[in-house]
Amino acid sequence: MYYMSIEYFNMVQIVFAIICLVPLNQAALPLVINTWHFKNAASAAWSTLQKGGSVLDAVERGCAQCEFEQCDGSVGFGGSPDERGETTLDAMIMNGDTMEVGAVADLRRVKNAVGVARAVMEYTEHTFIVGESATIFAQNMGFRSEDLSANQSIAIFSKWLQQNCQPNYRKNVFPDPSNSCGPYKPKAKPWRPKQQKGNFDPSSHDTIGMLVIGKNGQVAAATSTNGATHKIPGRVGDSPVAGAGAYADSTAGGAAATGDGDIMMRFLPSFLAVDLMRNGIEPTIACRMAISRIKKYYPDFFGALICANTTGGYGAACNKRTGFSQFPFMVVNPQTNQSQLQTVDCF
Amino acid sequence: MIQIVFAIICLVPLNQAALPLVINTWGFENATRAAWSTLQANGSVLDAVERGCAQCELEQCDGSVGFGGSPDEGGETTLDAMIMNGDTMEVGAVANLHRVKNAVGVARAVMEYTEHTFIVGKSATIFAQNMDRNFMSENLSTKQSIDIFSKWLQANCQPNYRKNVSPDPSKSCGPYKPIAESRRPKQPKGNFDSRSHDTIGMIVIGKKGEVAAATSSNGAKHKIPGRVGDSPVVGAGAYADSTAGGAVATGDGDIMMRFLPSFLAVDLMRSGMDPTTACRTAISRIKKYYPLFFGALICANTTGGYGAACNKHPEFSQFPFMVVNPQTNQSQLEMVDCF
Repeated sequence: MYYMSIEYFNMVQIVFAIICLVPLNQAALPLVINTWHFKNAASAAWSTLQKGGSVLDAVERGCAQCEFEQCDGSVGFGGSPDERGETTLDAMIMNGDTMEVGAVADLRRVKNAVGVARAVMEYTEHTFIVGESATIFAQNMGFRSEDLSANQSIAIFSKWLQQNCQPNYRKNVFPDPSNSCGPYKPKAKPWRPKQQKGNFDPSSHDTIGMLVIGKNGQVAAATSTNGATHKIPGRVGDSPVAGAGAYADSTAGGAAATGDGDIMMRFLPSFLAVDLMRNGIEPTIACRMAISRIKKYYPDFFGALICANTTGGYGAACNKRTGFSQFPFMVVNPQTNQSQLQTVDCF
Repeated sequence: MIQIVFAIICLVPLNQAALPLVINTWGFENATRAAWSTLQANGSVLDAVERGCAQCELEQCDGSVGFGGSPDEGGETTLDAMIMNGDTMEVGAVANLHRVKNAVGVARAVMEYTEHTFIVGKSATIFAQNMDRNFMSENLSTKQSIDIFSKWLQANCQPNYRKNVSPDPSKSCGPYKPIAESRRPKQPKGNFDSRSHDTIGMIVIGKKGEVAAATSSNGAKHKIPGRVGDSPVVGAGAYADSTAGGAVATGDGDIMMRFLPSFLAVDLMRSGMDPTTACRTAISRIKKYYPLFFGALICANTTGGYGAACNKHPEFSQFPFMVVNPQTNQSQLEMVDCF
């Protein structure tokens, strides 16, 4: 007859105690997660939750923090001047409970783009308002009108003019956009072979994308950006497009993207990642699969995605390319308690 | 006799998928024909889908595509459109386009002459004029749109898309100011007009299964200026992927675009689902949250199979769409029952 010795039994007890008391990468709620190392944004969102704010309030407050701070020069006023030297903003916010969305793009002269996006959601039946009319809407809703340029953006613009407007987003036009400023006119077709998008600067595509998962698994997402530096005026990227820049669904999870929006938005990575999580795929894999889809067509694209599910599990993925091998993101939950920088290796 | 049976089975096409295929929303027959002719004249699927949607811009299909329709709160007509190349996944789109009639043409220019995907607002008009592809700057209003606008003003600006503002938007024109959260009445979206949301959405599948899709719309009547719906948003208004198929949507864009129905349907077809079921599944997703939403979707796969679905509503029980392929040979109106 086999039985355990006393010493053996004691050891088993100790092992059990260790396993049960040491949290082994346990999911925890609430959760705040955002792209890049935008720490104050994460802290602002977390504080909002601590004070009893909703997930929607938290995600708005977090993105607004980056608008104030002009995070990395790629969110808010004073950055990413377009071909005419102007800064215009894109933002969205999504309520994963009701699936309501508010978004603005090509917003001029109003700093708090994510605030205007929230106003679209709360004061209209619409989802998306753009252009000069978005500014009028914002002003009617009580937002101040002010110049979004700053010394910094004007300097970036001047330098760009002096270097023959390189880089730019023109193609198949003359004069040759790879060595000249505009104005440009279309070149008569025959079809040119697809030329590699050579002039790429990874620091020109950061966006804050943030997900907040509440204690009961309710999901909210938001983004804010000033778009691509030297973009063609009126250009809208992925950030304000539901399903592209961000997606929230309280029955599945949330995802937010950053990177080359022109390319990424063609693949709806945030929507896809949430749909995969809906089917039980865990966040890191969902993020990776969404990135892979894009990689098939654009192997060198610049982009990253964060994903989180309704039990507080989270992950991220990014596309490996020269100059980009790791992607940083911020996380706060009851385990980290303060905003913690994490990174994921790109593949 | 067995030989005869075999002959019958092999010679009678039994609902066989056939390519090339042109399929578009609503009964916009001339658009279908224009696309088909383009294919017959050896145009690409991209040329065909652009030509088809442009036809509706010229003809102001149903007053909901092109100039002279759907005036916004300020009385102006602005246009939205997109075009997508399912081989390369390139997209061109414009929204809130002022003063240029050929919106889908401008969308194509975005795709061909820039690295971008989407250009909006007054800057889109400047872009269009610089592209000099017969994009003339002209007034998009007509007697008809001005008339619609006048009547609307006289009807206290009903219906409109405002909420939680003062004065009460269900009774009064603007300008409006936000009401603080605590004082808001919870009101259901009452003012619905199913005639104010038609879009032309078209899918063309070429002989080798290459997919292109495009849409064009003047958006929702009495929309807040600058409002963009689903039509020009890739994955919402339309999606094309030559490894899977294409889908295009029509209806209440504000609601539908939150669910990316075109992207979802194509993804389902990617996994082998037949087009009708893919369309129905996408519609169901929206129905869960908005049981009475107005909307329809058409779907087609790379072997020429196609289907459609629509959400049943007191004023909407059947959805018409146009189809041409070598079997129909001329544009054929088909219908699907809403569920």
